Amino acid sequence: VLSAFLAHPLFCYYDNKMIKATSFKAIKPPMPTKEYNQYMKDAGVASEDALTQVHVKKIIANAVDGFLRGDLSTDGLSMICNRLFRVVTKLPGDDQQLLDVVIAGSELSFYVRQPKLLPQFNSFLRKVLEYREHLLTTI
Amino acid sequence: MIRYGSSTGNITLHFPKKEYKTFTKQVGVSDPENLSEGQVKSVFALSVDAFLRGEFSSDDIASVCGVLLNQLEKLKEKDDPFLFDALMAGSELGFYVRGKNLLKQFSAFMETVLNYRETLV
Repeated sequence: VLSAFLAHPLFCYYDNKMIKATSFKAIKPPMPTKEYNQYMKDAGVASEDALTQVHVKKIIANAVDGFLRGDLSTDGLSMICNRLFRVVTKLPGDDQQLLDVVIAGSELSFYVRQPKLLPQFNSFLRKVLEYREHLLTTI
Repeated sequence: MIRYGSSTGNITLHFPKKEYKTFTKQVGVSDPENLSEGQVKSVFALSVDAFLRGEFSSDDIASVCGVLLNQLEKLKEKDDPFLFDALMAGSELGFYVRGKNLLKQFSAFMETVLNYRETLV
């Protein structure tokens, strides 16, 4: 799944930013750095280098809660998931569900802009929201 | 700022004031409290284009559509019945995207917004 995802022609990294090529142009939503740093702080961690799976889960929970309040847009949530995707792939252990969720979340900003892909957008967002509900009982 | 109330808590969206001001300036608005129907359409089109470029989020569209809807309601004469529908759909995006069971409606509203934008040349 991971290799297929990384090889996807619509997804690439450039200068530490996520660039997604749409049918007409590349899109670069801004990274909500201030909120991301706050969510890391709330999860009890000072830097990305010190993140564990539990921290990542707490950050996802905080980010989804921020989204539900309106503090973050789907683009903001997507950028945070993209950032966490890179963290999760480097962490020891194999949590496929967590990986699936950060991948689904990171796709939101692309799929929301394509009328024909909105059903997939719904499915990705539902996956993220359901994972947040799942975390209520596990962290 | 735009607020939606729901059974699971309130949603408060930030209004993209700076970008809205730029858009109104770009379409030659002299009185920001009184836009013509043509100016409402143009600001809507600029907002959707910014969204497609990734500079605007769907929440930003929702906030701007809410303001444009108020502007449209002030007008006594309107020529385009679809403009109201598009603004109404756009203003609901911020609420419907946050309901796990409302995502189908979100898609329908987003399609209305994007399809209407395509009709504006």
